[in-house]
Amino acid sequence: MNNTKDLFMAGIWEDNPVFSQMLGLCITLAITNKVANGVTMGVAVFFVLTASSFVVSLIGDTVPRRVRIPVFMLVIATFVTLVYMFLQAFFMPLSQALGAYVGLIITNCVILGRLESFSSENSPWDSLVDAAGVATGFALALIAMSVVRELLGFGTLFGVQVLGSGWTPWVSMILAPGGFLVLGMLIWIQRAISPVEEE
Amino acid sequence: MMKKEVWMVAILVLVATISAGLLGFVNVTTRPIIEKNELRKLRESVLDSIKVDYNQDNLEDKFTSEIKTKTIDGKEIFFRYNDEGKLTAVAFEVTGSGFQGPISGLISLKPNLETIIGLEMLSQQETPGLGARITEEWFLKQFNGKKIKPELKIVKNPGDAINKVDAITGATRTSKAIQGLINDDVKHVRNKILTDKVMEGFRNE
Repeated sequence: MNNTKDLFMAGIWEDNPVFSQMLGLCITLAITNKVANGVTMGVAVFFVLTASSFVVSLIGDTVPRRVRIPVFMLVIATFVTLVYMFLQAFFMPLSQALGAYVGLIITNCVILGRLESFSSENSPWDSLVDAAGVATGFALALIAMSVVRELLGFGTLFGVQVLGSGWTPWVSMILAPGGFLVLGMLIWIQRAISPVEEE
Repeated sequence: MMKKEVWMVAILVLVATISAGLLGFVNVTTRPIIEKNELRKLRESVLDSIKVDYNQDNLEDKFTSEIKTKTIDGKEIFFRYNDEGKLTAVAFEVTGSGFQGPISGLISLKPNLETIIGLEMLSQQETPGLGARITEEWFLKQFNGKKIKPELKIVKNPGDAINKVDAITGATRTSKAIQGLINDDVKHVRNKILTDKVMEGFRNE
């Protein structure tokens, strides 16, 4: 994969981290009941993933294989903590809305997965493009899920009433079962459009 | 072989040192801003809960002119007196464990320490979209004018009862936690900290 555009697009569609690779599902199921949460988490993951991919691609050759996971975790945790402090200092309301979930980015396997399988063995530029593609794919997946769940579960989008007052909110949509249902449906749609070839 | 292991340890130590240095630096630079934000948020919540009008520019002035702060038994209590020097509101922090982490809010009461004037949330880590809805206007507004007598109850279908407010669907444990921390902390302040005599004493200060 040398073509920059292909590399970027792969992360969004064919290799979408949520719908295709089935990674980061814990965060995906937990936070996608409101679109605002999905967008903020998407942006935070984008920053952490691109920054740590870049750093890891620079030091990937130097780090001995046996300590690569601790080193990757340190890099990820550093960037996540930076994001957390930055949000608290300059975007107080946002950081309060996300609460504990910013810290959970550290354990998001989408990030560790990219560092391990791509950034540690590729050039800084390719790693950046790959990370940006995968992070965008992740953010879009979060947004797609949260649009469906917030619309059906609250009757709102970004907290603004969209469906009329006659709408009875589907409470199960904001709870875990709704998350699993919507995730299943969206994976179904994605697979129907571009089927995975069995090897 | 030996050399390889030394190299391994050296790399880990190096990465950890750089990471710690970077975080330490950012922590030192952002801490004053974060503390200022938190103090501001506390003062805004005190004024909000007592229903004092203010704007972003006169927050500090309003707070110092309207509110007297006393630390009693290690707990900060905020008092508001009217122009005749009569006590009109008492506010303090209420804290406890929620479903996912600590919850802290700010409650203000009439001087009888029974009737709620207002409730604001300071910090919480509840589930976004479920427990985290305790920060939403509709939930907090319900508390205005309710009485903690004998106890405040957060239940489904509260009706018109003077001591009941509506719980959040899908967040029973968070609702119960709020109920518990309000009842416990108000009782504590009532019994241990603010007797009539104590409040009488502040009147002229």
